[in-house]
Amino acid sequence: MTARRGATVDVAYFLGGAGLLASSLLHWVGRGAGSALRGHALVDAVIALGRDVPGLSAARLTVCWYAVPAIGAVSWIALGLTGARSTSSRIVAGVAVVIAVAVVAAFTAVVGLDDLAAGPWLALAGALVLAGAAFAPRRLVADRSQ
Amino acid sequence: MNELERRLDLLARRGTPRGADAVLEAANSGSDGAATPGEIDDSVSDATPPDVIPFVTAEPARRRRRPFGSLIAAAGMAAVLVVGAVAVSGLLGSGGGSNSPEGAVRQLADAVSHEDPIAAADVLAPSEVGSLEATVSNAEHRAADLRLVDSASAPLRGVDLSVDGLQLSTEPLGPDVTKVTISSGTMSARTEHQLFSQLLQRAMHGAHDESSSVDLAHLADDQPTFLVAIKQDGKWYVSAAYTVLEYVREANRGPAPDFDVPPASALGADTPDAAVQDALRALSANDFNRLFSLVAPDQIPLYAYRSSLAQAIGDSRTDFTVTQLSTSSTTNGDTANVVLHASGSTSSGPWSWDGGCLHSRDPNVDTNGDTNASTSADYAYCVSGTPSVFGGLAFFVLPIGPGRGATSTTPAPIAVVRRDGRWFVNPVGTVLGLLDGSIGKVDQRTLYATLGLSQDLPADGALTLGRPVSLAGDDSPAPRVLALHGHAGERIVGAFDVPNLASGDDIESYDGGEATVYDSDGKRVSPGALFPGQVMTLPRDGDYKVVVQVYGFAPASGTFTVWHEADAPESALHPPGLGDQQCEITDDGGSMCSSSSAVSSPFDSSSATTATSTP
Repeated sequence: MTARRGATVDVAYFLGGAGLLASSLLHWVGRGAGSALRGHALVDAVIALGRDVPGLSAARLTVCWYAVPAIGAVSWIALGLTGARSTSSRIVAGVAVVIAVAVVAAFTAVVGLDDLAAGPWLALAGALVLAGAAFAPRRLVADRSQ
Repeated sequence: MNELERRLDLLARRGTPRGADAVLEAANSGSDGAATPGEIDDSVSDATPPDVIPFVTAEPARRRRRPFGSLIAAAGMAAVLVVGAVAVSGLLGSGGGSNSPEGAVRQLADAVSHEDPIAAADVLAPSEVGSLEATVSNAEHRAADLRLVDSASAPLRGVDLSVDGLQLSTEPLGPDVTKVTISSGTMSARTEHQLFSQLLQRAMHGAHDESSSVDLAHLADDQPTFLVAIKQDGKWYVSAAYTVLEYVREANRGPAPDFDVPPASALGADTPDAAVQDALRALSANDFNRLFSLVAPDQIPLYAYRSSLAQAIGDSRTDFTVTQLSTSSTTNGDTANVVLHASGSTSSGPWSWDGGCLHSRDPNVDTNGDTNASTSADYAYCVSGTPSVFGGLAFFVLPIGPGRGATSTTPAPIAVVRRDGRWFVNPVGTVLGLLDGSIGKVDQRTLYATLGLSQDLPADGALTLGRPVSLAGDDSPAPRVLALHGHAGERIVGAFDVPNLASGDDIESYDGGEATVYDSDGKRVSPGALFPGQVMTLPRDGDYKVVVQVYGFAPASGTFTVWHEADAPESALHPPGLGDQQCEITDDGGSMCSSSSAVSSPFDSSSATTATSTP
């Protein structure tokens, strides 16, 4: 039972990181400017155009956005080396939540909540699953046979 | 009692109590004849303690094995490297474009379907779009500031475009230049008015949602639809310049373009000033090859298409000479701005350019259609001035009538760029610079006038019947809004009083402008306007707004006056040209004139009066 619960936590942590990575392949804007481009293609286009997205400079947008898949990749490293419930993994999970919330908030400020596509929501969900797995209460995963 | 407990009990009850020193001494002395570990002699249990005390050792803790842990960590490292590489390439690279000419056109079609200007700009030639994005951004921000759109990031909200069924074929035109012909496909457009901004909805009052579609393969009657894609830095982009020039070539059945263009170092001019001066001299001398060589080939390939352009120009010639020419320039790296001052003559008279306004003499055409030199007047056409409300092309070219003494207060610089050490005129940058200036000057008055909503503006002043309103000093093309308190059944007539443009010409009274009357609900009192000789009846007591639009070519001086019919002068009731007729504006915007005079009235009842609102 203990091994199974531990594996479940690890799988959840892995899926959370996968969600953060996969969000970079999806559309982040559902309508209007930026809606035809997926993830990094949108950010790259904004950089190439040197254009100020209303309310957010291109530089800040790029730093925030690339941090989303980057933290997803780092979470896999932490999972593989130390496990989902290690201190390192918990720190990574916390940072992922902060980044995902910040980026989603930035895009919401730019395009509005109604025009967000699947990308930001998947990023947010991935970060929350990551945090849930890393900070799951011990009683859910402790060995009760002793 | 288990074995361990039994042995401990024996130990506790053996011997007599003695001190620690005695115990240690006995232990040391007994070490010579140490018993064999593991053996127990119960017969001497009281004196001989057991030598072996069994220990229970715990099993070493084993870490739970994570299957695939190393694999996951390795995958994470690989993902970090990929993200980093993509981020660096995005930050350093030009981005955008497509891997094929067809792909570039499809990407553009996808951008249109998503109403996405970013995606569209991403697939347009970087050399052409570089300065365009700044202008587009300025326009979007200004539109949002003026509430023409609800959000600058969604300027096309309410318009739904769709490109479907696209089938393409390609034809190479030259190295890195390919024509992509649209074999089939449709573009549909649908408007959803409720998604427009409140301002646009008011401007479109009563209009219904509309939809339409067009066959993309046959936009022109006589030739198929195509776009030209060019390859830059390994990626294909759609080029507007190449596309336009190729259409010109096809329309004129011109020769194939010559892409074997000399390098930029062999074209252009030595300095920014020389580029502009040489271009003006070449234009004056009709030396179009030289003129085309002064435009950066990577921006607009005029030089490559010079043969077909010459064929299109045909026998047309410019008709001006240059007698004086001076320039001043400011350079910033590989770009420069040049302000030009020049003068010369044309067949009609002298001309001059003062850096922002072109002054020339335009002969009036009298009522017989003949040019009458005695009625010629000097006009000025100014760029980067106050934006005009008279249509797109006039957005930044404002015709200024005689008497206004227009001079450019803001010079209109000509943009110049350097390529391979040579300087070239940048026509796109020049036009966009002027457009940027005009966009920045669009204010609420101008916007409302363009949308026909001037009546929603606060009044600039009060209109008193019989008292002239001065038009002097108002160089803004936006109309004036005057407040009028009227009464039901009141009959009024209005007229402009401007200096004669041509003595004896009977239409100059109407050339001053036009005035339309709106009630307190913002509705026009009648489709007609307040023209001299046309009496308007006010429907009810209350406040009205009179929107006075001065035509751009009207002089700065002059007045506009509204009278009660009973108090109006003869010239307002019976202006020249109407004879003894008197007309009244009808409900449908026409005018009903009654008279026995043989002189034809410009407001004949058989034709509706031009009841135009502000354009």
